[in-house]
Amino acid sequence: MNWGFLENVLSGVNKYSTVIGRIWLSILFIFRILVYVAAAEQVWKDEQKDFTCNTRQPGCENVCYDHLFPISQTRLWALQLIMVSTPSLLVALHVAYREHKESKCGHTLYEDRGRIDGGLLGTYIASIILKTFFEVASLLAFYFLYSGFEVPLLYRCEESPCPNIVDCYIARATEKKIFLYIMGCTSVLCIVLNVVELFYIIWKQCSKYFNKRYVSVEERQRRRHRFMVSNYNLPVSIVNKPASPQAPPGLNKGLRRSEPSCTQSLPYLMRH
Amino acid sequence: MGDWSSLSELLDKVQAHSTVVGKIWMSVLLVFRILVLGVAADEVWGDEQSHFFCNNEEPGCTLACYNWMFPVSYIRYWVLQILLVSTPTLVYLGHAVHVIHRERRLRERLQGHDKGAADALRKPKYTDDRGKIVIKGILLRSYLAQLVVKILLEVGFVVGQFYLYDSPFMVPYFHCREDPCPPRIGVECFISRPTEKSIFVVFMLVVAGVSVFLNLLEILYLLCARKRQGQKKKRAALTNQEHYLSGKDLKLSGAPTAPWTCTRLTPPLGAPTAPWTSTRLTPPQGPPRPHGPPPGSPPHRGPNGPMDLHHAHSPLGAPMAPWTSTRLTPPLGAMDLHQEE
Repeated sequence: MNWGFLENVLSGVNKYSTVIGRIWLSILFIFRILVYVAAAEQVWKDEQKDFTCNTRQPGCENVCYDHLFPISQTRLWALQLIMVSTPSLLVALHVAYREHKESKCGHTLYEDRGRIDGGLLGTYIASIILKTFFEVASLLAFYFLYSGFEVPLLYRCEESPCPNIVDCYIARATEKKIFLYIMGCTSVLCIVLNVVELFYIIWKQCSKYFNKRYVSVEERQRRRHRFMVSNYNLPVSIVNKPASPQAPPGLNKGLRRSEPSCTQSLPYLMRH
Repeated sequence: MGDWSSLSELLDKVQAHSTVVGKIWMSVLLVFRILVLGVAADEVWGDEQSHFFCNNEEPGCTLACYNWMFPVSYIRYWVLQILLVSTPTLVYLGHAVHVIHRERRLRERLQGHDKGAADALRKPKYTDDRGKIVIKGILLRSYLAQLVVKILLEVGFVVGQFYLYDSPFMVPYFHCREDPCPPRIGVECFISRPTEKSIFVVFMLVVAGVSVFLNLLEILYLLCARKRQGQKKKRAALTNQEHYLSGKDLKLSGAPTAPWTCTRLTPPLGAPTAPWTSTRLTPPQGPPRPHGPPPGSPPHRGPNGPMDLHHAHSPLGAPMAPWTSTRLTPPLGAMDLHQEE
């Protein structure tokens, strides 16, 4: 399976992530995908060929293997990696949507398209929650399908058409156990990182919202002037209008409530 | 073999923020470990289970004996070793990138502000104007920490390998009594390509040893470089102190100074010798020294610039103490003047 495609797509998400998001992405690439491709796939390569039962009854080995491994551990692991990577693409999609909106409008709507605020904040939080959900679901699937993370060397099987209780042996049992533990530990680490990132984003937004720093009127005018001149090339007389009477002088709003649209008036943009 | 490109790309990024020895270490890792693992060792261990035989037909006996002899295959063990040994380097890369990013923002802010505000802000400490990182302060500590962790991990993995497999030399066959093999008599099990595998095991052990040696060398190199820098700073601080103090001292007394040195040109009145040194204040009798321009010529700059005390000469032609580089007036409070001959 070619993981390069997934890696290429996910690399683009790096720009729109927080620091913790980038650490999560590096752990995903190096400690999960690389370990899976370089090691785990080889360990489970001949798992059915090397699955032996001490019986000559035709079909008994197949049935016992199918009963023990309804889905191969390595395939479940690959599914987990894919499901866990996909929510990050939502963020990339949202940024692409913002770019599309800007190109349709013809003028700049956002100071920074990749900044996590407004609708992108909701998408980012949703992606973190989905990632955590998929991680937990995969760990639970592993736990209940295979009765824990143990891989026994010997499995006693009494499925039909086996004539009695037969002993079946699993190849490289210890090595598989070690890699399942590595998979479990990296999953737990990623869950912890997701939770920390969630708290970090929420804390950052709350501190921006509740931090009512009073900026001087001159500084606000200077910022407005810089933004308008750089984005709209408006003459200085239009830019240097007095602040609207509704907004208290110098109050920094901080949190953008909704995505701006093409038809919104200029004073909305000037306030942000 | 797996795709190591993502790890290789990250390690390439660290190269720019490492010392020379660090770059050598990374090349050793990439060429002698990852490449050898991918190209050669994978072929050698490819048939490790398919060509593993025990002289017993009991189903499961071969699997049990293989599992007992090789709890983890060598190849997988080396993959984990390479990953874990690269991790401290990647953590340092994260720290360096964070520092570079922070200093770039600081530089942008400094450019944007006017002079007065710029002085109040912190100056970029770890990067120069080209954006290249300088390993000092907290970055140096983080770099040294990652080197120490790498050494510990390498040693840990080598010890772990001896614990798992006893000897790096593979035996062609071994005796096995694992269940379901007959416990009393046991079975003989045969490993495929034991000699070739032994060669690779020994090769990887030697590379691990070289890696530990390079890390130790890098630690020594950094500590020596830091010590040298510290001594240079101390010397520079002393010289600056002399300049500052001599400037004050001579300004007060009104005596003419050679501006390119910190030496006054005429001896203090009534002082036959400078008691804090053994330098006489009047030159010894004898032929004049050949070096130095004739009196009245413009001030001569020594080959090392204006601070070169050996070649300084006053425009008035009055000699200072050309047979030494000792100043003729003492620095205030200086007990032990360092003579640079």
